[in-house]
Amino acid sequence: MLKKLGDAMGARPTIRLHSAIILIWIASAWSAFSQTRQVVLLYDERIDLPGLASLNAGFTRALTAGSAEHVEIYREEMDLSRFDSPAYRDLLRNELRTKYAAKKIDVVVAVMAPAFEFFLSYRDEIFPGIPIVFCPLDRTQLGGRSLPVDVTGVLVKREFAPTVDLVAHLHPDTERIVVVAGTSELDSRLLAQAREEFKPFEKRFAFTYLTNLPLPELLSRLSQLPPKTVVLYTTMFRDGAGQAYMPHDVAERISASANAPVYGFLDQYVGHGIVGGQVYGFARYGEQAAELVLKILSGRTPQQLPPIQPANSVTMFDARQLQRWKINEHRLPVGSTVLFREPTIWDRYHKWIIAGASILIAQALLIFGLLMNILRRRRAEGSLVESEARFQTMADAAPCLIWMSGPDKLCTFFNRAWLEFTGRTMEQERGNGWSQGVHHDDFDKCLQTYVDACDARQPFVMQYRLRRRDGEYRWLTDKGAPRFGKHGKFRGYIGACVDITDLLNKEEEVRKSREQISRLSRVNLLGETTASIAHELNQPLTGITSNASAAQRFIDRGNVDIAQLREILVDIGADGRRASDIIHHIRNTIKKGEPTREQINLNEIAVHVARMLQPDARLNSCELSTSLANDLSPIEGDPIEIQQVLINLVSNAFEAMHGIPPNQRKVEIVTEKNGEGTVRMSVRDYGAGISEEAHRRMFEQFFTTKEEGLGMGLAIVRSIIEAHGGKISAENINEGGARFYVVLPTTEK
Amino acid sequence: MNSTKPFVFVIDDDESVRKSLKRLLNSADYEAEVFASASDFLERPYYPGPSCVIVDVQMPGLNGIDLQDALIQRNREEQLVFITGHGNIPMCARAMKAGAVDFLSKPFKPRELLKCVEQALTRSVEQRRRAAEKNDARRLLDSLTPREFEVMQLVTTGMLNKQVGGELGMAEKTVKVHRGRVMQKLEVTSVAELVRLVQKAGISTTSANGKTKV
Repeated sequence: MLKKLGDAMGARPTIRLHSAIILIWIASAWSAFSQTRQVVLLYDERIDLPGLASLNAGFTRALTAGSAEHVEIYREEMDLSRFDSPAYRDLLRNELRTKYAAKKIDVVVAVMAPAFEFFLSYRDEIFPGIPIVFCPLDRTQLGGRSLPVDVTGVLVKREFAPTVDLVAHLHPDTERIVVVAGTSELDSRLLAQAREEFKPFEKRFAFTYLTNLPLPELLSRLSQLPPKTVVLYTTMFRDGAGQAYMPHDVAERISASANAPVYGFLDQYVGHGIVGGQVYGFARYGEQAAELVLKILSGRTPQQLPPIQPANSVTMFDARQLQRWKINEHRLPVGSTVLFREPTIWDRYHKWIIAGASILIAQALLIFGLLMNILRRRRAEGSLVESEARFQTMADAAPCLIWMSGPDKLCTFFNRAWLEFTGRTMEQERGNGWSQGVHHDDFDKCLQTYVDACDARQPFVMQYRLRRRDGEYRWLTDKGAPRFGKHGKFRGYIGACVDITDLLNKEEEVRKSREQISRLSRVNLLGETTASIAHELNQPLTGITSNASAAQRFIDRGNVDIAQLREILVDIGADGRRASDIIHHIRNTIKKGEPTREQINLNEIAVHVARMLQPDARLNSCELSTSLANDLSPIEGDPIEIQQVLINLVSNAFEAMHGIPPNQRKVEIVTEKNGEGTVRMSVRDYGAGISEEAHRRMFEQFFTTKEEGLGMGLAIVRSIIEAHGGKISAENINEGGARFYVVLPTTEK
Repeated sequence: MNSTKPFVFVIDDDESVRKSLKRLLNSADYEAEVFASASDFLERPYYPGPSCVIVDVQMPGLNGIDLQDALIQRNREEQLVFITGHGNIPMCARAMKAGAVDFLSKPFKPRELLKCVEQALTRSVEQRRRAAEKNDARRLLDSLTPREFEVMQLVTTGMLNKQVGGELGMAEKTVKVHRGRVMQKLEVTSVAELVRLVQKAGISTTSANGKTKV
């Protein structure tokens, strides 16, 4: 007994440790990508209304599942239908303005038309310039207005005719259809649309419109309907007597009173007495609004996102009502959703249940007494269960995808975010099911990493593509760590994944533009040194033409000295090679290509650059010398880029000495070992040195001291050096001039 | 007058260019001497005969333009042909204004260079001849006394003896004596000959307003 208790106690710290690990992962996964975004939801009514509640739930779910960043959601319930005085609106406006003055809101979502209208009137005062997403709005509510550019949203598409088709199908002998609706502005508008859509059916059914009655009278009329009648209910926010109601309450009451089946158009009526209908649902609107918000948060503008008008309707039935009206489920259209399928046992057998329960309770009390003893002993295990529950809650609340596997490498658990991401069930994902979603190209590597790590009991980080529910493969980074139980017993793995696709895309863009700039600057550098290149190339050409001409003259004169002729030809050949070498170097310098990584000897680069810039040095009346360390360890990198860095530094050094007498103009390129694992290359000039401001800002983009400079040179130099894992710095030297240092890691440890 | 043979000097820091140009010049029967820098050339003793200097514009230390300035400062009138790997218009204009024969961009046609050399040497021969004449004329003029020089200057402006006497405050008779000595010393027999000699010596004369100018 005691030992068992000890076991159970011993398990507790491990579980805590797990929770801690998960927390740390979540935190690290977050901190890497998080940047809190803020979204305001503006509801025209209270969120506790069923439609808005499901819209709110759908929105929240989709937004948190789809965002790698933390999104703070603020909700404002304006209750506009109950409080509609201008003074109240002013109050709301002032309140919102004060409340959000200090917040940096990214997107505002206006839910339903009244909120949208309110917002259009006051947005410049409350949320100036912030993108708006409306949700959902009837196209007719927009009227002929053209939307402001920073507004987009979800358009609602209400359809009434399909439900009449449904009625005709399920109740073939129907003769009359009674249409019930309220008198509020929205009620009337929807009714008008419904009437329009019902027109084609008027030959087949006799339509009666009960739309102006007070609710009690309506209910009594509905209780005395003739046979072969079906009731269609649109909405009733207000009855004929001007009394306000909630439409779903009305649905419940008319269904209870009516002696005919009632069909409706809103998903929230299902479960409130109606048989069913082709209904549209608010949860989907919420999700679709969230998708628009996510796109805006990821950098798209509302202008690029035209309002969407999704087909949201589903055919939905209440099983209890189907039974009440004796409608066979087999006759329902394919794809229909049937809710409340299980009639409650209580309804049918409550007497038996009460009797049975009495006996059971008596038994239970007995068992309870016996179990108490055991339970007390197992309290520790109880806290274990609690801990598991806490873990489950936390895992489900986490914005990253979390999985867990057992010692047999098979996965045992996936959190809600994972399942929502893949759109699969826990059962489908368990075991090795999850790996079906891994991209074909990443599959082997992914499995190998996992299996290897498992066998070594080591943490791992890997990247792979996983299929999202919409079929798109997204790049995930997956951090896994082994779990250990008591006495270091291996319990399997736990891992957390974050969708890094957007991040990768951004990185790629940044890399490309850096390459572009670096290439442009090389071309620019070449432009600046055109003089020296032309000079360099024209020397051998002059040699060739002069030699050739001399040889021709010697031959023409008839006194050919074969030895001299041979000498001339040798010289011509040497000059030809020299010219082609120069062209080769130029092409290497400006060629665009994938950056290469290879072993580089800095001495070679220094010698090459010194030779290349020798003509430039001459033009600047400057002496260019090198001082190179023996046995310099190689570095890894792109030789062209490192060469570019050195060219840049040396060219700058030349320019630094324009005000110095020619005989004092000197530039030195020095390479040296620099302690453990790094080498240092420096360029020294004997110019006026660097001013304090320049010293502080010289590696910034667009900072320049030159009249015609772009200010990109040193910024590019720094970005190249940093991309090579190195550092660049500069200092003034007491004896005069400045020295730029580049420190780069060697490939040898 | 010296009748030394023409000489071509080549100054270029590029060995290949130096070597090939020397060959080219030799093939056209010119004597050529090459230098790796302008200062090397300046250290060489002045060559008084007809000569041409082919010089690269861009060189470490003294460049071609610097050399041209240095020669002008020393009153040396070598005929310069500039060659350049990458010249620009201002540089070219400056060199030409300062009296260069030509300004060639590398790689030039060898025939073009030889034509320039020939032209330079012609100019050099002519210039050497003029220099010799000037020296002779100056030597003659140097033999005049200050008074005789004054009388000579006024005579070359076309004044009569009486006018000269009025201008210098001396009797017409005295003017006549001075004038006779001048003609004798300068070995001329007419005023026209006298004017030509003075021009050769590089002294300008004018008669427009009766004033004289030296």
